[in-house]
Amino acid sequence: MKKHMILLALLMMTSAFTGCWDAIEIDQRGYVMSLGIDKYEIPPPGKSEEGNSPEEEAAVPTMAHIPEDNPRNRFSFTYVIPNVEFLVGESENPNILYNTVGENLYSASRILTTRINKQVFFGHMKVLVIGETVARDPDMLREVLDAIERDQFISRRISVAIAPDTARGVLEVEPLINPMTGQFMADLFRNKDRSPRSGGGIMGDVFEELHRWGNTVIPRVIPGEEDIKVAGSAVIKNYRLIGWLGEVETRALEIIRGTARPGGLTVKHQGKDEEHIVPIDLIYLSSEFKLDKTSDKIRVIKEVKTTGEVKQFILDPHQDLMEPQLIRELEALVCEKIKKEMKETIRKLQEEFQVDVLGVDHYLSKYHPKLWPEVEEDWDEVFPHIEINVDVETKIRRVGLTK
Amino acid sequence: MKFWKKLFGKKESKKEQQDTKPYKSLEKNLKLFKEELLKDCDDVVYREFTVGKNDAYKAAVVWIDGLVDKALINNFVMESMMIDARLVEPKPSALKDNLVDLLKNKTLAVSEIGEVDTIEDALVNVFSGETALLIDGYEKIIIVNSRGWESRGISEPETEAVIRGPRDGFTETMRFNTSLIRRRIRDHRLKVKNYRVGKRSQTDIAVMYMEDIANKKLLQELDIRLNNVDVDAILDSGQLEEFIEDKWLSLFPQIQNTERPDTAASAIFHGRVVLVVDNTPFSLIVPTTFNTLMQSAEDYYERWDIATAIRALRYFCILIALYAPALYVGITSFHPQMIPTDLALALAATRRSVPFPAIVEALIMEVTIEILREAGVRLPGAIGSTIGIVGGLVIGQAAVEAGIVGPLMVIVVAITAIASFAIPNYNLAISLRLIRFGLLFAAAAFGLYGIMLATLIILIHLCSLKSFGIPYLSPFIAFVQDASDLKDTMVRVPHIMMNKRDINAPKDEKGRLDDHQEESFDIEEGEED
Amino acid sequence: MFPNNDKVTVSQMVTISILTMVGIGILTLPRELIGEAGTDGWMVLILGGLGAIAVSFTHGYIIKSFPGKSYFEILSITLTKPIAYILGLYTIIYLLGIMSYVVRTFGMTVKEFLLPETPPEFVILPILLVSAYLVRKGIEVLGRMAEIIIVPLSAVIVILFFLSWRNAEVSNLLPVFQTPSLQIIKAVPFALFSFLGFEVLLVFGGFMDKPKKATRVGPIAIFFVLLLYQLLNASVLTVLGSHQTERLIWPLLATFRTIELPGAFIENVEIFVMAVWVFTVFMTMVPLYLGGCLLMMELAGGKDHSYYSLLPLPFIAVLSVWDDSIADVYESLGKFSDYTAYGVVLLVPLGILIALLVRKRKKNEDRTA
Repeated sequence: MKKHMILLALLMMTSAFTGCWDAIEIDQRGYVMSLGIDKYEIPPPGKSEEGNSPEEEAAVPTMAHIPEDNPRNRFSFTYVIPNVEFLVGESENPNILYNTVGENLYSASRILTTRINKQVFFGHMKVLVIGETVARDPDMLREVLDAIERDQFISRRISVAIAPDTARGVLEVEPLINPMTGQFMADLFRNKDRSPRSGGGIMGDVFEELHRWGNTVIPRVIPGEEDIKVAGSAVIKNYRLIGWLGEVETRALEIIRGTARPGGLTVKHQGKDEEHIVPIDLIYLSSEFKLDKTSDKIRVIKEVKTTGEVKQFILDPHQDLMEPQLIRELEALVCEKIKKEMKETIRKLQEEFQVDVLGVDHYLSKYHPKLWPEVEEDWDEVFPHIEINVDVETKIRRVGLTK
Repeated sequence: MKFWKKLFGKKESKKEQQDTKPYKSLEKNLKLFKEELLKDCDDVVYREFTVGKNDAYKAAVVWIDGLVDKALINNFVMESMMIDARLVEPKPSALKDNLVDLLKNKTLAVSEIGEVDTIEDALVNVFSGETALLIDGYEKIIIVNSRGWESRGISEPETEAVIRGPRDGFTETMRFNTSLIRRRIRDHRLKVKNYRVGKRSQTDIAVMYMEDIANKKLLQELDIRLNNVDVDAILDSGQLEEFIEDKWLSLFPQIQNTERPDTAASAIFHGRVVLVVDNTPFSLIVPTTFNTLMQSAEDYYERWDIATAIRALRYFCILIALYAPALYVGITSFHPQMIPTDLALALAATRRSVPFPAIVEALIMEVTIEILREAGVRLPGAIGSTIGIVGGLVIGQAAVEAGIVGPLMVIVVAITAIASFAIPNYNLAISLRLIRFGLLFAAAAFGLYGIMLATLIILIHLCSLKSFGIPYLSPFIAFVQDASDLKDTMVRVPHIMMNKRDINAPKDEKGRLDDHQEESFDIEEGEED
Repeated sequence: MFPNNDKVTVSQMVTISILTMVGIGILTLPRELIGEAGTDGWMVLILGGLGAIAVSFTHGYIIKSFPGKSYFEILSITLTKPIAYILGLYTIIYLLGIMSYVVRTFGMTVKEFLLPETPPEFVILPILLVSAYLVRKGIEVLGRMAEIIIVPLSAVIVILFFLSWRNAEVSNLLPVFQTPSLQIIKAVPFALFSFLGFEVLLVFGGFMDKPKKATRVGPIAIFFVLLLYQLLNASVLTVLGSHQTERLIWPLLATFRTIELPGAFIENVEIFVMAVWVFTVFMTMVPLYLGGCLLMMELAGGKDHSYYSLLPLPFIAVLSVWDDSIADVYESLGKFSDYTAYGVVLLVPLGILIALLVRKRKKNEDRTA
């Protein structure tokens, strides 16, 4: 019995002496919802003079005094912390934006704690926006991404996007529909109906591809006046941003990669005497690579299967949609269009960027383990010269409610 | 068991009762009663009278006023002996040698009659409501059954009310209670053994069990433990419970109590033993497992699928009752990344005016609700419920508005309180209330890690508990071996499938349904197809 | 009737073995398998599992041959008393040493995910005290704990794996059969060691209520663990891909971190996973701890092991905070198990087995003579 008591007392003592280290009340934390990372650039002299007037400083309290030529100031971080006062209607400001400069994410976050009365907390971070300047520098990009992956609080499910120009510019926008920028962007990425005109942008998937061969695509995020748009994508080669893909090219890429979400496509159908614009809602069923073993060159065939629904034809058409022949024609048109877009994208990637973000390397390494070791070493050189054929099959299953 | 020895180590010498033989002379006996043993006991009634044709024999009856049925004594003791006895002319020889036999067998028209050898035994009987009959020149004392006191009628059990099922509950009189059980078990194998516990209170205890289904070792153990109880008074079964349970240091009740004769009977059918204690409507059932505490009588009267859903709900309620406040503290103070972002932000927004850490907030509300609960028991019925509602609503609302606690905390505390009432056994529910505070502190110290460690401690403790040799967590702790016992745990399978008795029954007495019954069910099913 | 008197049933022994095996190894297993044999790790696992089954069968055979005898008694009978003392001590060092590594790894992960600011001593000490509490209660309570914990624990684990499959890409399991067979065979000892823990049967065998079934315990337990490991390996590979798995210290936790719960009641599952993991690690620690204490009791000739439950606590605590970085921990763990595990799991049982056979032959000769 005594032993019991001693054990119990020991337990009680340990719990009494502890409990201070990690307990931080929920309202004592500053929840970083989005993080923007830019390369620190010394502000142009004219601008800094302008901004240094005392009134301006007071008006923008979140701006720090930035020592100008300090070698430690490599990055400029933008933290978006939602204002909880705004949630209960006691404040006008939906977000609190902090901007710090620093050598790395950790020390910058530490510096930030000297400026806010809350514990900076990344556990609810949703979106990471990387500025183009950082993405163009492979060392900086790798540093930043490693810090993100190493951190135990930052989820692998956060969304990542690259902003042409600065990340800060994106995060400063207060979207009309939900002025809390962090949540708005998180919802934007989570939106199930999001068109395939941008990549998935899930941090974990990006990490997976980067760990594999250092190449990937990351969605592009463009700030507007009162909204933010996720469209297009940035092509990363060897941890470095080498170029952008447009919205249509991104869609084609997503179809090739097999990661495309359902989306629309519009074709022009040439009828007997009139031309109709026919938008079609598509679901991408499967997307597979096949290696053509007959040739001695590496020749892969991409087979894509989709199904679709006609969303619009024309009121009282001459030729209605109950005719299988018409459906076949539409299917052919869709195939043709997808094929064309895909070919264009493949050409761009092969010739312009010379980077395999299509997944051919991944495919070969998995399904053709005999062939892969031969080309693995200099795949960057091999890839631009391989032949990639596209084969699309579309089935239009539904046509809506009218004939 | 060690503590038993410690506690009752010297019992042998103490419990030695001095036996006083009654005197032969009636006068001396009465003197002993009146002037020594029952001095200043003014509720004792003595009635001396003479028996026989020539008033040759003196006799006296002694009883306690209020405990006896006076009509019975008047009509069948006094009248028989004083009047009827004179009408018969017994043989002189019989009169001379065997007056007592004559009285006992031919004169007293009372159904139950006994004889004791010692004064002490006689007194105990008198105090239990019997009448002692002393006859001059006879060294034994005749005990006439004359119990008859005012008692509460059978009413609906308050703590274990059901919607469907019998409405009779135990009362304060042991005999009524045993009869209520006996009515449900018309089997000669139902045994009722009487014990007397409590040196001064001499409380009657009836041990009821099925001779063939109950475990012999269990009965031996129970016998030892009951005989070892060496206390002056047992006023309620709750006191007895503490004396005979395995670990009185534990927070968990290791003996089930019930007000329901059907629950008691059902336990007996499963090979368990029921202890009916005099002066209390709560009977004890041993051995008890955690699982039995989660069963309610109604589970067996409602349809099995509904009963199963309710069982599952109850186990869920246990989790809420134990963990809800601790999780609140653990999550808000340690791991806000666990909850959805919107909720976390909303919590941060509503909590920002609360000046205390979450643990203090939780303690304030938990203690408040415990006070309300305790006050609710004390307050008279009609006011009680009103005060409960007013107190709960007003204090909760006001506390939120005053910024002492967050609104979610109020919800958590309320749901915790409600969930703890969903547990059928009140004993278990109050234990969980206490454990909840332990979990709360663990969460405050180590967050979720602390909660898990505390859970481990609770689990270890539960695993080490035994009730009369049956593991407390049975059948979960050996579910491979006792797989069929799982049929009546978190689920309640249809009665036709509960064809085996559980761990309490000996191996060769497991069968509950005979094959015929199972076959008839099979046929019906076949026909439906 | 009364499952009493320090006995464990066969099923309880199986669950104790399973829970002892599933410990810290699962955190790193997928990464190490990829290091050993790439995507052909599953074959290594199966071979290792078969090897472990064979070894554990001999353990069971030893227990079966000495029903009701403790490990120390078996050692004394077969290999004489002095050697038994040395080997007993050796086993104690092994058991408690492995335990302190388990505690250390556990402390690191808990600190990483749950209590980043708390000093590691205060993370480790409470769980050590709780395990000392269970050790005091003895083998019977341990058996019950094992059996009551295993069902909810495996249910939660399987559900977590199911949830992680939402992000799975099955083709990540490819290519198969590409690793040279020599490399696979070389990796088998490693795989065998990922099943370490089944040797607790040796120490606890004397408490089994049906020692005749002792040979079943190891194989059944290892079979279940093998299933779990395959599920684990496949899930991690499909979710993370082999290249990424190689980069992560604890790929299993990373896999669970990708889970998005439907309905989003829990935002980040890893906290929940860590909480569940406390149970797993606890049930790995305690059998090792209890085994060490029981042996210590016998070596010292005591009667009640509970007096020894607090004795090794300071040593374990010191050992478990000894190594500085996580890299050191994993390296020295490897060295330590190299020196001790082979002996305890393979050599000593082999010695006992040989002595046993010699004795039998002698007996037979005596009988015929």
